[in-house]
Amino acid sequence: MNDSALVARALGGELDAFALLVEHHRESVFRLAARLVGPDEASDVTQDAFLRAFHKLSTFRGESSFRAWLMRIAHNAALNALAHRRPVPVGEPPEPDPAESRGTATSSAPAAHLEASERRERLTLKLGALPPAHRSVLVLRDLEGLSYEEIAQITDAPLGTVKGRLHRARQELIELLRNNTYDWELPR
Amino acid sequence: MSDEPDAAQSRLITLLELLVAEPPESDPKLVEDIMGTARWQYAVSGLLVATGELAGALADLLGLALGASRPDRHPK
Repeated sequence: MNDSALVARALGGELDAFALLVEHHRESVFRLAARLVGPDEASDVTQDAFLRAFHKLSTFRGESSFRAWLMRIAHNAALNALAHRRPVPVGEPPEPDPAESRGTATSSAPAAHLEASERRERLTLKLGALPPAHRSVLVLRDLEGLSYEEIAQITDAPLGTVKGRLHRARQELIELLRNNTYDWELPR
Repeated sequence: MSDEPDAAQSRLITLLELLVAEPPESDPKLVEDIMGTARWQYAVSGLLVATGELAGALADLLGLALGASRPDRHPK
């Protein structure tokens, strides 16, 4: 059953239909939340987003896909959580120690796995250093693979603004990685 | 501004594939938690609507009863 049919059934009072919508979109909403607010707050933001969607379901007109409508709510819930977050002291959290990671590797396959894991950790840290408006566009485009049009709907920004933010977000992340001790092999 | 990423941006997109390959995953219990809250909120909102409707009906009834029993103060 497609999303529109499930929305119609949920509006008719069938909560099981809404449960199916939650099940269908749980992972994409959680991924967006985790990448915007971090893993610790992601469950709360996901829950908040789905409950907001539940109460606003009658306002879904089907002009965009249900997924885009829901992601917009999730995006706003994540930005709201970030806005209410206590300011953290300036300075980056410590990066993973490569020597420590490599010390446990006994063959090339585990070493490669550890290196990939270490790179992922470092990338996640650097991604978290981007301004929220830039981070969300980069996450939606380069990690979630959404179209510019969908991103414009989700972030409530004109198409040109989305493209501009994406370009700046990529450049900022490149600069952050270039200033890192780790060699990311980024061409100049 | 061109939509085409330059060499550094292309390399960045390749690096970001590392994050795409291992996405954060939610706890399956999350659906239960969301639906638990949604169900009680739905029940409470239903109860509030029913209470409101009942109160409205009672007010209408009271208005009618008072209107019918009130003596006409300005007889023609």
